[in-house]
Amino acid sequence: MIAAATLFLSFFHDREGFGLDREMAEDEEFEMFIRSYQNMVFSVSARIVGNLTDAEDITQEVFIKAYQRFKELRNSGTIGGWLKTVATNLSINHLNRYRARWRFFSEQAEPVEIAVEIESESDRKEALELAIRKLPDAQRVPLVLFHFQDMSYEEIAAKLHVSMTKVKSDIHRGRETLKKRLTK
Amino acid sequence: MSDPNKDWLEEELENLQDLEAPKTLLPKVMKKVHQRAQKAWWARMTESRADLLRSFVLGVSVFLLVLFFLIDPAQFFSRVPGASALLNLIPLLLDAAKTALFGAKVFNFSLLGLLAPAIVFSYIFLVATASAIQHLANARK
Repeated sequence: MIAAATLFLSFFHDREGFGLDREMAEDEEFEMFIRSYQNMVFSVSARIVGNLTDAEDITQEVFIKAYQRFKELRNSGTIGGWLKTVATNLSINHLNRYRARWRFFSEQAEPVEIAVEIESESDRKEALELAIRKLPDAQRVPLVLFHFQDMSYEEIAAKLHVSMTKVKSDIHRGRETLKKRLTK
Repeated sequence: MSDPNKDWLEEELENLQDLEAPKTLLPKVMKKVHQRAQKAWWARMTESRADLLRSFVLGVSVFLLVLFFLIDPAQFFSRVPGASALLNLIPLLLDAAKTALFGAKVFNFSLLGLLAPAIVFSYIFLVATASAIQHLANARK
């Protein structure tokens, strides 16, 4: 009788232990997953929103969404694409919320000048990153989607709900601004 | 060999690598994930389906509002002894408020004429102040 009770209890103890082990293993797997993709997701957000603090918040949101669907995502071959799409959409939503509130004031704001002394290759890359972040939203977002996400003009126009002519001219203006700022 | 059709900017953009995510990111995400896992299922659902829930509540409210006009709950109360006196009092109170708003004068202006712009301006002022604070906070980041 006692032996049977012990066996019974140990069975549940083992099951509980197994559950905890499984949770820990899942946590470790998810941590590995974050480590693998965090730079990519953060870069997408930072380049679109142009603000590192907001980009960190958006990146967190992306990974929390990924956690909710981790079981189906971890075996999927398109996980990188999924993360990029979610990061892009959340970043654009963030900008739209912010812009709607600040349209009146921000459109009158003067562009910020960048003061980075370019001495080495890494300085130049840093200056380029900074110059991208300081571009006006209307130029930065299509430029980033075109150059970093490999989206076509049509796809960008559809995503931003603007005409293709505007996308082309905004990308052109963005590139001209970057050239001007980096050759100064 | 570099592509002759590309200018220097295009090449530099192509060569840019991913930015390094902040070191605080991983612990923050894991903390949120653990906090979320500890919450009850209904709390998790309201968090992830906030828009759906908001739309549902709005839909129910509109439905109740329409139902309110269709059913007219006052007709049930009027049968309750003593309730008719209360129902008669409400239009009297509304009439008194209307008379005060339209009839009362302050420096030859009606009370409504003074209160309405004051309410509108204070609302605009509060929205503008809140936006300004948020804008300044974002600019500092």
